[in-house]
Amino acid sequence: MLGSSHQRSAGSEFPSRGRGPLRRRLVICLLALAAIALITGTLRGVGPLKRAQGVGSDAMRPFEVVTHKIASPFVDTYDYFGGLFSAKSEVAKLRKELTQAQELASQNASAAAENTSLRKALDYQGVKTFPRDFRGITTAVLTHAWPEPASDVTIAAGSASGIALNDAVITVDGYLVGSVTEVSTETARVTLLTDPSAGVSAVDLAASPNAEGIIEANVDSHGGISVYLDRVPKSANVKVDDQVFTAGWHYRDLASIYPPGIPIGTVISVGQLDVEQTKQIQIQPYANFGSLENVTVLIPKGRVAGG
Amino acid sequence: MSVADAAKAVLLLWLAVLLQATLLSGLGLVSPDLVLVTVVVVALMRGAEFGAIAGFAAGLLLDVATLSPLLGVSSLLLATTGYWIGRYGETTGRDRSHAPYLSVAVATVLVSFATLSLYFVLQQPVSAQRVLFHGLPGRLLLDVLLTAPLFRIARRLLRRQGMLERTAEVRLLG
Repeated sequence: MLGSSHQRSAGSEFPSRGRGPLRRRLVICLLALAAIALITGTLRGVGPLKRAQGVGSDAMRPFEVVTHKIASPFVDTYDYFGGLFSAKSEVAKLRKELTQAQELASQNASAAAENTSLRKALDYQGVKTFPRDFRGITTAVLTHAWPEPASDVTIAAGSASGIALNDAVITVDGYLVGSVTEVSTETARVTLLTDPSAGVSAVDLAASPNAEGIIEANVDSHGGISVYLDRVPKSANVKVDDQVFTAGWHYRDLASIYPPGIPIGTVISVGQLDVEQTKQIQIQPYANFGSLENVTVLIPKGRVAGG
Repeated sequence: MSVADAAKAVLLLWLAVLLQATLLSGLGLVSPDLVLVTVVVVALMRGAEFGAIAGFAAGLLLDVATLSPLLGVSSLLLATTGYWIGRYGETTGRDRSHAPYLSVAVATVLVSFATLSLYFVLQQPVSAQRVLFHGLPGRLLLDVLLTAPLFRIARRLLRRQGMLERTAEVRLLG
């Protein structure tokens, strides 16, 4: 019986087994080549490929929105119980911040009134300022990047809503999140402040002289992402708890993509070394990048929504 | 494999991509890789060729859904994973109860290293310290934990057609 022609059917559950190794190898080679072609195409910025990606992303959007809607009660419950553990310390922190904010608000009110009258007197023509010259489009965060969730997110609005490349993005509370780096009709990719490639010109207005630098993100020794205000000269008198805002510079026809005055965060540590020419200033961003659910895209007033 | 069988596999992978992109990757660095686990499970049950195609398609869908600046990276990694796990399923790992867990664990570690290598080669900003030391141990654990329920779902959806045929071919001796 051992020599009979009846053999175990080895491969009816594995179709590829019966078809021979050549076909199998051909399939994986073709797929690998196609993937490499896709990578090369996107790195070279091939237009049709980006458009196709945009169309695909737009097609996925309704399903992503529905998934978020279905999951939201569960996520809210999780957040609620998670919030209970940190509620006490959060209350103390918020009370301290409220006292500081009330003091600042009264100072700002008189400064703003003085600023308005001086601008009128000088007939000053400045750059577009936040929030006066912008309208906001608030939209949901659909997806997070992989494998590094702190690098970018996709949002549920695109060029059809008037969003364009390099538009600044803030939280619903008005804190800086990042900027738009890819746009399709119905979705857009936002590169976060915590991405190492995102450099934001920022200023500490409380320092004397004003401390201007670049916001940069680095991985700290605990594997977390820390945000620094880099390239600030040692002469600047930066203190802990100072607030940092977008600088919004402009030079001739060039201007920062971020309008001036968007709050970024507070200074949590200041250090300097003899061998370095600049200070090491660590910032605690106001935006909570770990739980972004909705963001607001700043669109200059007067821009018309495209298709 | 029938069209209905392939459609079930597509549906399973599509749901995995949707959940991965919208919910799981938002959990932070330590989050399960549902798409990888699904591709591994499907490849184990359906072999190298189907595993490779499923991996490629799932990766492409994931890159499209997240508007990834590196379209094709996930496809390359998941297609390769699907192929090799499929080969393992067709040969050594066939019918072994530990095969899904072992495959998922090995695939999670290797894909993490391969992702990092590709990102470095392509000069994309990514921290090896974060991905390997702070993300990988937790992800490995979560992926292995996900394996059992996902394997059960996949086995129910993609029922092994060969089992009955094989039994029918056995002939009594004597």
